[in-house]
Amino acid sequence: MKVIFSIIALTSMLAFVPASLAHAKTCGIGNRIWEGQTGTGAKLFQLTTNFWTFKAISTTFGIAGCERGQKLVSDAPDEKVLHFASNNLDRLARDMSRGSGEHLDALAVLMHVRVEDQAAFRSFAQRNFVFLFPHDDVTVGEVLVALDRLIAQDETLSVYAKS
Amino acid sequence: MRRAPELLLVIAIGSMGSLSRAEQPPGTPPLAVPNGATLAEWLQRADRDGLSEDPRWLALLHYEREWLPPRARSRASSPGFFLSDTGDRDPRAELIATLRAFLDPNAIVKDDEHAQCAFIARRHWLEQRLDVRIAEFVPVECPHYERWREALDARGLTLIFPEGFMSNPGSIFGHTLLRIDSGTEGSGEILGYAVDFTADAGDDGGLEYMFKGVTGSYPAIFGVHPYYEQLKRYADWENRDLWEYRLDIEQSELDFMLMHLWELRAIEFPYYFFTKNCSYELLRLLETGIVDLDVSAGFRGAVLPVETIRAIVGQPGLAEVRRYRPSPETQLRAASRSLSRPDRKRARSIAQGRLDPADDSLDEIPPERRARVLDVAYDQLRYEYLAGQVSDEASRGLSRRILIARSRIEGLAVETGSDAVEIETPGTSPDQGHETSLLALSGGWRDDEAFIDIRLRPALHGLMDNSGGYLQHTQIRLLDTVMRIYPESGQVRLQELTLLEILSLAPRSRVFRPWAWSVGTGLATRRLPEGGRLEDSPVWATATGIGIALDPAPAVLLYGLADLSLDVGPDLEDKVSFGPGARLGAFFGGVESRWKVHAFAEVTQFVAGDTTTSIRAGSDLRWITSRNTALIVEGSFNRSYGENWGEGSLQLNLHF
Repeated sequence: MKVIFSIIALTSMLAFVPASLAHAKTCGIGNRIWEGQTGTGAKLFQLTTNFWTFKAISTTFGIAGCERGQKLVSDAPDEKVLHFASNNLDRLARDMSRGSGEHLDALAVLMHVRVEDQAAFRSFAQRNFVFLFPHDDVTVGEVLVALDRLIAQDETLSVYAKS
Repeated sequence: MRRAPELLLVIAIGSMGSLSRAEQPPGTPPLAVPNGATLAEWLQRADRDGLSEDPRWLALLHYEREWLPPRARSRASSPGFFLSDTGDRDPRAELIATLRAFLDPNAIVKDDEHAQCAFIARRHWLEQRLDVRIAEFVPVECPHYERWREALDARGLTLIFPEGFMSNPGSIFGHTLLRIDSGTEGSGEILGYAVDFTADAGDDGGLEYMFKGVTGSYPAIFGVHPYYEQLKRYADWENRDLWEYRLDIEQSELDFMLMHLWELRAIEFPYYFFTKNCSYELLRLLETGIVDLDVSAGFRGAVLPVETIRAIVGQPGLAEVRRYRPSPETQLRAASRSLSRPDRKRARSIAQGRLDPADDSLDEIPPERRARVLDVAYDQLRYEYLAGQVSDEASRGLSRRILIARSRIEGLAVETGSDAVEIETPGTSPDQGHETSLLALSGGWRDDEAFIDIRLRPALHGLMDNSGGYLQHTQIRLLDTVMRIYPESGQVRLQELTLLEILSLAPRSRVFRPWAWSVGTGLATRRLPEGGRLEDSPVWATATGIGIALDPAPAVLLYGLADLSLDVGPDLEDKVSFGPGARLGAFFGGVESRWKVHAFAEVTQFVAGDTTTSIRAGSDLRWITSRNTALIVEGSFNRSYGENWGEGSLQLNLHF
């Protein structure tokens, strides 16, 4: 009886599913997780991720970073920063403009900014916002390169620069 | 634990491109076991201790007891998950094949991995139970697993519950995922990894999708993604509030669970929308890790995500800490409310591009207030962009200008992760909401005839129910069934059997402009004229409506909907009755309030088939007596076919 009830209920419920929604990912975002993807961080730079086109980003480099499903979670710090920033550039911009926020703090963690320097990192990002986002079509690559360049010139934070 | 047959409908999609690799039959050639004596000895010990029937071994193989026919079988459908040809139904054969492969230096089974690595949780468990070090006999390195484990850096585990999402019927009951928390200090929560169980429905839609969903025709796998990606989806795009339940789990338990998760990569399971769904499989995964946890067996029928949360929270000491993560919409509503009226207007003007964010007039207000105005303006623009109300081109330059203006106001909130506006955590979390099934008894009068109603509703929530822990302003009635008894005449009839009704009354504001809407279908009773009086008659009633809802004051909700109704029934003229309608109503009473009043008026003008004007107006008064009990008094005036009648009842609600 229960099974019959279930089928009737499901049928009536799904009658309301538009085809487009039926294709939406409902219980989780998708299954590319364990899939081996080829590509490196450099490839992400080529995505020319526009400031606001974060909707288009769907690569899951954080998990599948190389061939044949071998490297299933990225362990390259730079790649992690890149993937995180690519996915959250608008959130980062928001947090940076305010000098606070969960995403800005997460970026600091990924860049190995020590806890005692995190306040400096936050206000640094806010102070330099206009240089980090110099034009409307700025890409995630440009933002990260600018961040690295500016940090290298900062008294407190220069130790976190890559270049 | 008893569970009513509630239903769950969850679907997931994704490319399954790489899975075929794992589905190749495992390469276990007939072995010339170099350690034959060792294997024989281990098998003897395993048999002596009954390892092949050990609950833990069966859990690692995902065995489940089936009733028709009665047997135990693994739910996993990928052959690559088994080392024996009969491993999915013979746990002892699989145990033998596993030990055999562990002792074979050439047993490369999956992704170029040795069996000891591909089935690392099995190895760990067998080592413990047999009290041996398998690697001493056949040394094997597992570099891929080690790198994965190190990258995850798992130190904690959190159970996540994204609330229901009304725009997709597959999501209305919510969802669950697990988050692996790393050892990173500070606010690194969003850098954790989310574990979920998702199905692939490909490009299917409509009937095919329905049928396959019920019959378990879609394959599903466990997945791991950065949590920030999931947040983008659930919080940013779907605007769902999330609840995070930090689990008190031993490091060794967590490590073992992850070993098993490693074994599960690319392993497919048939996905059943109602029963063996994401929430159920995540419970099973948790059970492989947490030694004494045994809750999944309590779910016999459908599995609702919130019920799995309750099952976990119900374990003493397991999920003591819960955290509320408001969606961007919830945050924006709160931030917007906290502004003064002129400031709110400024924020709106900025977001709409009518006021320059660097305008001199803004310099006149103090920096704290100016910062909040710009914050709200930006968040509003972002919300509208994500909702598709503003184009990319229009928002991009404006967004940057707002943020530049905001970045020039320094030295305000630099506390860790603080947003300018503190959002109050709702007083009732989803696990504390009323139980999902409802039994209601009511007694009342229709005209001068007394009746007794017995109502049974397996799921989920009505607008007059205790709304704490549930999606606000949303009603979901599934299989709502009412038997009506007229004691005087002894007549008993099925008064109502609503298959499904959804009513969403999300309030509109200047920023948020959702439509109020409803859909519903099921068996209903209509009074039809016969021999000069009205007689009850069954109809199959389907109705849909659209309109708006407003919340002019905190505990007030007003709504108006335009409806279309279609009734089909044997006693209707032409067997059918169709027409437009309208309803207006008001709710008084907040989320945490014991009292709630609903006043309503609805009219339907049946213009085709069986024609009449039906009117119903009245009010309900509710008084909550406990989390799961309430009293409701209802009175209504009704009119159909020119006849008037009154109806009144007192109802006792019991959620269970």
